[in-house]
Amino acid sequence: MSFQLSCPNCGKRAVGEFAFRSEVLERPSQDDDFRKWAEYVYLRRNHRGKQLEWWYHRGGCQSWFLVERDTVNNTDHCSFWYKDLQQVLATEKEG
Amino acid sequence: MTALLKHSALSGVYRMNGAKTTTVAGWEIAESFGDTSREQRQLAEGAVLVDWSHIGKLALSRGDAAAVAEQAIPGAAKAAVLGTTGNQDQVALRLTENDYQLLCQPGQEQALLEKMDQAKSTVTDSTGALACFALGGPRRDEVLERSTAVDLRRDKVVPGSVIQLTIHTIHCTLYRTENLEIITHSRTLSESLYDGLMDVGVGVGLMPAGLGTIPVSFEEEK
Amino acid sequence: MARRIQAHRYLTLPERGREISFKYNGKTLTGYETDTIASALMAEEVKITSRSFKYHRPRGQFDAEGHGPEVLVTVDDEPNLWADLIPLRDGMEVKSQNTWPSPEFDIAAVNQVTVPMLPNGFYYKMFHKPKWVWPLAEAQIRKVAGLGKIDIKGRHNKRRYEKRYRFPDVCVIGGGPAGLGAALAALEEGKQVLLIENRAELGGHSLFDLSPVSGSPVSELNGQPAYQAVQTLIEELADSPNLEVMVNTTVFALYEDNLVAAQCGSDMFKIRAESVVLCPGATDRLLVFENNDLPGVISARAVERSIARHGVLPDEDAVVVTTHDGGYHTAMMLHGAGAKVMAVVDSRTGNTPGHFENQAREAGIEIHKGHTVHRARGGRFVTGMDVGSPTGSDTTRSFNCDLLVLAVGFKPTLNLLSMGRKTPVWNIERGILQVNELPEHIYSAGEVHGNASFGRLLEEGSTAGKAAAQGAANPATSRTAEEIIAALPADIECGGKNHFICKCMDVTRNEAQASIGEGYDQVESLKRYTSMGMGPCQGKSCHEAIARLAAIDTGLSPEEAMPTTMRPPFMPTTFGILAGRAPHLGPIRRTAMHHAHIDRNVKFLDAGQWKRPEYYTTPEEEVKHVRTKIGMIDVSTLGKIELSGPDALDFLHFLLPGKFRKLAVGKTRYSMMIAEDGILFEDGTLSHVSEGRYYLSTTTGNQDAIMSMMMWWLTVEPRDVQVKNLSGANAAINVTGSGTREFLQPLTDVDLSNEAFPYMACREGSIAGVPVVMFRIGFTGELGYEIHYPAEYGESLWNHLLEEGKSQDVKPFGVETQRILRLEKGHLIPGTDTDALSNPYEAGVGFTIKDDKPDFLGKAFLKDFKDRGIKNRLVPYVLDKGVVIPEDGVAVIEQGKAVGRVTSSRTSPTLEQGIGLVWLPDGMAKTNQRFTIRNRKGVDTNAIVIDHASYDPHGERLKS
Repeated sequence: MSFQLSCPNCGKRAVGEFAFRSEVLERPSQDDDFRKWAEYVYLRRNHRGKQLEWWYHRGGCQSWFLVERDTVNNTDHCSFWYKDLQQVLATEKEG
Repeated sequence: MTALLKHSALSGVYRMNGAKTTTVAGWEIAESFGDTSREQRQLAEGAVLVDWSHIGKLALSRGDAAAVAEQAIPGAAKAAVLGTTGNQDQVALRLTENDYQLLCQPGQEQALLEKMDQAKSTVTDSTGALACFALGGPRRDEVLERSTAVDLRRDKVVPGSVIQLTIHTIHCTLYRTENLEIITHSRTLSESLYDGLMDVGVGVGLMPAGLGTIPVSFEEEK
Repeated sequence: MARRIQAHRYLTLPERGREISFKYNGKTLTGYETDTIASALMAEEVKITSRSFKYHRPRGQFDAEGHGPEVLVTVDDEPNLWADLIPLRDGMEVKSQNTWPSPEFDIAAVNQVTVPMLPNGFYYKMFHKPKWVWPLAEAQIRKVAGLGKIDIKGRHNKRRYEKRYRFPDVCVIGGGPAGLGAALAALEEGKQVLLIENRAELGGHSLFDLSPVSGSPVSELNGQPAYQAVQTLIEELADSPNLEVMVNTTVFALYEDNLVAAQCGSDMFKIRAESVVLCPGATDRLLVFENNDLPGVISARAVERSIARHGVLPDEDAVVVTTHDGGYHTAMMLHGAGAKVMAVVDSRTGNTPGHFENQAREAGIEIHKGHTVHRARGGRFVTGMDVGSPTGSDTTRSFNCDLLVLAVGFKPTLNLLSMGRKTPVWNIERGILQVNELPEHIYSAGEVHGNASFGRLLEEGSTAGKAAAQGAANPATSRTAEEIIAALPADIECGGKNHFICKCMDVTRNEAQASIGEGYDQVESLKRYTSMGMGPCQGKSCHEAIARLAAIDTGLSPEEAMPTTMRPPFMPTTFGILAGRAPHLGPIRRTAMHHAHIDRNVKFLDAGQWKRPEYYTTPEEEVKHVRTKIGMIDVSTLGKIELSGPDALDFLHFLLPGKFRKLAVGKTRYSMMIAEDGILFEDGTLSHVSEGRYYLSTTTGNQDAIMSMMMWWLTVEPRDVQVKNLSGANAAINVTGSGTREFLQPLTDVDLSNEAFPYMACREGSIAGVPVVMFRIGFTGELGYEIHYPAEYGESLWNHLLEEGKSQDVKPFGVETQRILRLEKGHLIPGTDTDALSNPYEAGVGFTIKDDKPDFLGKAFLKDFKDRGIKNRLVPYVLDKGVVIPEDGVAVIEQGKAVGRVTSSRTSPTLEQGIGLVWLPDGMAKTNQRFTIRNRKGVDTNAIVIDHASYDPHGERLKS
């Protein structure tokens, strides 16, 4: 893989500078059924198409940020801060 | 106060190369690696690497880092992200919206700490945690060109910029001035970074040099 | 025979330069500094340069592109180099490959008789039953079918490989007229341009093109012969400040996001370009016919380059086989060099004569229209040929000749445009394979889209270069009828068994057809079964022929011809190029006391990136020393995280399984970390150093992961807490042994009495004026103090303590020693004694878990573990005295089954018996239970479970 990912702070860098954490998942509450916890810990949607993911700029500013990435290719992706997530989701709903 | 000396991570390198050391702010630091005039010639024609590990280094993170940085170095809050502000004795490097690295003359870090409200942002004295190299000389670009996959073109990273990157796979903060590349990095990896830079610097004639060749200054006189 | 020419009727030959002498197969030969190895060999009348892979048929130079296996040579110990790309150098030692004893007389030529008698793909079918036969047969087959030999001790091993980086705005690949046009246009747009050319000089095939230029966007070039016009262009580029030109540089791959990988000498360039313009050009088309592989069959451009750039005439009596005016250009090139052109055999009829056809007629050269070659004749090289109709019937004439020149069109070099992402398709109109669509930010122009005049190539390059600079859409290309070269049939079918499709792997049309008959009727599987296109040229010579013939022979239409996938690298690349300096420059982490350890002849252990002292004398000696005197260990590698602020305790309650509200100032507690899956992955200590300020120690390996995990939680759920990573800021020493208090007290202002500073506590103070935090914790089982202090004093304080400790025989000890000490105390190490399935209750650290908290990491899974109950336990054991100590990780055997495993096993020097930690089923994990361990050699040892620790089980020494 040699594509470049965009860090919201540092700009375009080689993907190897970053660490991938996971898809954005909803953490269950402690009252929830254990099955929900097992799914949260072990299962992933691994969606074919646009996926919201957590990335960490390990080789640079060491910030955590979100990437909406099309898992089918390595060209469609955009990065933003967690605090901007609601705005990004709202813009997409409109679009 | 202590009689014990502070040591650079390159103290082993000093010994292996017969460096002449001096004491600055309680640190044992290299004055030269044997021949100051040769080092200065190399600075004029090729490239040299000087150990600045004794400079004051403070890390500000989270909270209202900009406001707290401003208390120590006026103008810091207005610095652009990946920009810097300061003078030859102290400089604020703005790494992100909310992360700063402050560099100052050796021994001055305490004075800066006292000016800062440490409840408003996480302030860490990284003077010992980080090492620092100053890379100088007209051929320093050729050393960097072999050491990192990050675009350091002069039109992209101008003097007064700061950039976080890996050099030889070692995480570093690069602060570029008119004539120097100032590289702070973890002291635990300092000897490795030195070895890596000297290795790729072979073709360029990179030499280690001491404070006698490049004294600590964060900005050139205008 | 070949010879050097001094002058040419139609163009000025370049200066030859200095004479050079070199060795070829032991003989001394001469050439000139402007030669390649191949052109020098040609001038020295070396006609047979190699033998083919399977049949050992004689082979000679065919083209000059660095494709043909016949020009693979060994140069000064380095095998498999392309003689037609390498400039000649004084003193070079060149050896031919795959020939024994010599290319001219090769013993394995007998293969020509024997191998055809074996069935198609015989190495898949024969010599496999019985199974043991194959390794023997394979060894023999390999000996006969081989390339160069690698000399392990060769000089090339001393080579220095470097990686270098470039970041141009526009990267132009290919320095022919299209590439030059692209570079000029991009420079005009103010961009930084990198132009890469794999030969020693820019100019491409235009350097030997006599055609008068017309229709060029640079008007002053019109009317000039192309070979002069291109020099003008090259001069225009010189000294452009925004241009970097790399020659002798081969782009071997194009990766995502325009990462261009290029090789120059022993350097690899990794180039990240905003836009890439691909102008790789085209090479002479292969024609498949009977004996098309004989030495003397040569491509048009090889002839032209030989004559015009190297001043070498390949041979005297030539016949040019052609389908376009270019063949006549080649004929005039030969004629002007003084060769005898016996005929031009042109497959066309009724065409309007082109510029060079008219010249050829005027020069009196015989022309045969409507004809093409049917077969080449000759034993070891071409002596003659037959011609007839292009469909293969009716052989009408024969010629005697030395040179059979193929000028039958050009096949685009599609590799970089394709690189696995875009499949080329057959363009019916232009008669070539073409990549039509390119990803964003990649452009292409030039001969790679079909034959074109110099003027058009320049214009197309300019248009593409400008679009690339502006980030505009990739412009379309067009060709006139005059430019398009009709393709001959993919194979001239008129009998014979030596129609070579793939010269690298010696695969003929018959073999391909037989394989299709066996069922390999898809071009990808056909390739793999026959190995066509899998040789040194990787299909660069034959991909077009393979595609067309595979389509025909499997009943597809010509438009359905599809080549096999083209993948990086474009040219063979050595492992050295790919590795660069990597093996030499892996980062190493050193503590502040590193050189003090070296001074004491330490043996280092590689723990991840760290160098940690393993031991200084022997672990046994060091264990005894700590148990009887005083030892010091450098534990600077530990992670150290300080938390403070209003939400600090809250955050700790969330991250850790314990409860710390009652952890008073000055107190320290053993602590675990558990992930959301309930598995313990980390242990350390949590100390309340001063009001509201907590200090968490972590293992060496996990510090970065834990810091980034904390930062993630603070991003997702902001809290008013300050988290300081002091791992690098502090060095740390653990001083331990019963005499430690007496030793340290005079050196520090901290009251070390047991009343003032009990076990599991922490104090701030100073030693020799250096600010320290001291912790009384128990990993080793002796009275001890872990001292954390600023790393800049690392070396100084370490040496100070050893100096002050001389009278009490204070000695350093290492990590291996510490492992034994802690094992004597029954302490587990997460990751060694536990794994990714070990739950904390079974591991015996359930006491650190206080699960009556509303939310913390791992709570849900811990509850599930609790509900499921304990199935296995981690317990300490001892062996009988004198038995063999088992290795870490071996099994516990009960009634013939493996029911548990030993995680840590050592000899205790203190007790003089084997000890360890073991996982056992709950029923067996009881004090005094006997059990059996089977070591790696299958030897059984008896062991017995003990209560808590083998040494000082009630911790009296620890708490003293």
